[in-house]
Amino acid sequence: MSVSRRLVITIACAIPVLLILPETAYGSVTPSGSGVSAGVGYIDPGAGSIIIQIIVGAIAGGLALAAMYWKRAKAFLANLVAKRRSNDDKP
Amino acid sequence: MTTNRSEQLPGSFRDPDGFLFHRDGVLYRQVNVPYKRDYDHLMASGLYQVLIQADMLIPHEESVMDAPRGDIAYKVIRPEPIPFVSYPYEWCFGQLRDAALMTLRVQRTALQFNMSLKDGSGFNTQFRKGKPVFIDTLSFAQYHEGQPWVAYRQFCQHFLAPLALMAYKDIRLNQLLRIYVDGLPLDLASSLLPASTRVKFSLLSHIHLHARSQAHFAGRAVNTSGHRLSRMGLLGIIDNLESAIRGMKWQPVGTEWAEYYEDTNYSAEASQHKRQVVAEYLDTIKPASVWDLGANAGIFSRLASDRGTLTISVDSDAAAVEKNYLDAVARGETHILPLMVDLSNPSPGIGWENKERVSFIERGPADAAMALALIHHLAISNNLPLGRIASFLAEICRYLIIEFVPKDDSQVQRLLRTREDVFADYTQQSFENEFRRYFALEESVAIRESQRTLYLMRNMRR
Repeated sequence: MSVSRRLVITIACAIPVLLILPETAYGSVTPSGSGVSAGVGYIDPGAGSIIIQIIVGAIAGGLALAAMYWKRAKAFLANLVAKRRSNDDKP
Repeated sequence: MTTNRSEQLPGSFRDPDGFLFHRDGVLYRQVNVPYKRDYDHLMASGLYQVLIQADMLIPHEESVMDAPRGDIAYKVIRPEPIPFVSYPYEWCFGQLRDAALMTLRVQRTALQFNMSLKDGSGFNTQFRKGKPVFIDTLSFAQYHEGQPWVAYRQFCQHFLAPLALMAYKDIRLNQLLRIYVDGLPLDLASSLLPASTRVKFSLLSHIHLHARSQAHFAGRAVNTSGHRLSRMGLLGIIDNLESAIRGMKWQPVGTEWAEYYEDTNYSAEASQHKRQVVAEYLDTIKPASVWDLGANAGIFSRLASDRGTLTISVDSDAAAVEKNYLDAVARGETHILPLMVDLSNPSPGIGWENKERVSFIERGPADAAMALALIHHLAISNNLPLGRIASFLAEICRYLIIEFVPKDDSQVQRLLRTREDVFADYTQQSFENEFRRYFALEESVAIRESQRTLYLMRNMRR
């Protein structure tokens, strides 16, 4: 992947994170006295670490999902083209 | 309360699910009752077998012996011992990178069996037979859809941040791991990393924004229980961490040490003779373990490791250790462990009570130490008196193979070129006198076509 393409993708991915962080993410977390409950464990996972993980996870998971569908779509199109060609070749 | 015969390891107390202890010289791990469900799931789900077959987890056997804390014990297990324990601040870039990738592989595999790592510490990895292996059997907790990865912060602090600093800033910054026992604070890593790392999505999110988020929520009581991270999201994070780490490269070039072996003053005959004498000494003493001190890229270490002897090959130079490790990986070597240790300031005991992580010296003594082309660096570059060098070496080995490099040698002259010669005592006679206080000088051979002498010494106090 070329440097410029990587840069464009990085910026495209970073902008929503930067937009989301101060507004939706931080704002959606309501401070309360109940403490962090992020599952089992004896180490402190850190509230900030949990929040960023959920945001980045949503993006990374979304990208992984998009990549999966893109692969499927490409395979579907390739299959369609191959079928049409084989039909065209038939006498 | 522990029985008299059991001794709990000083570094094993944080996790309430169990602890390591020694009994009659054997290492055991007590599994506590609260970990019962997780332990049973690890063993019954097939995860343990998959990890063992892939050499990713240290194997263990269940023991029927009495638990030292029977009141809270579920089981006692006996893990396969690690021949030599090493720590992340002693690993070169390649070793830390391989340990990080192995940890992510373990986490990905665990998720397939509905388990997740509950800690992501670098100290949970050790090198065994040339490869990193996960050693904490109690690190696996059952995973439920929607849970975030509790060890994410620790993984970023122990692996991602130091690797990024080594790759993008300065290779020596791994030494920060010696100061920060729970990994590098991410705000520190973020401030030290060059601005260009902010255009990499992985480093922007896992280090820079992660640090910002930590600062934002520091000291606040926050309820995150309503926030879910889907399995796809968690796998996405692991993929992203993995590709970020795979993308980090560091080339051991451009230092004077990396090409040191091409830069010696030995003739081919002298080099061959030195190899032959060292090999003969090794065959005479047949050591169970060797520490090669100032090993450079490990050419002479391999005389020992190729004989099937566990060889700890230490040097203070990051490039030399990297080259040594990459060579060991490329050749599939299983008896050599390259480590980055500065002999003028070897790893101290660190952590709680200075006992959580053991000092380099306490991990000895070695059956044999090799100090080849080293003494002039210690005596002249580091101003260490010969008597102090002898007493240090007597503390860490039973046999010593040491090379004396006289002042007339061109390599010593090179060290003296830029400084005043204040080393009147640096003579072969004085060297022998000082070492005789601790060692019996069993054999010595003048290396052909050089001014150097090789000695085989036996420690009289061990």
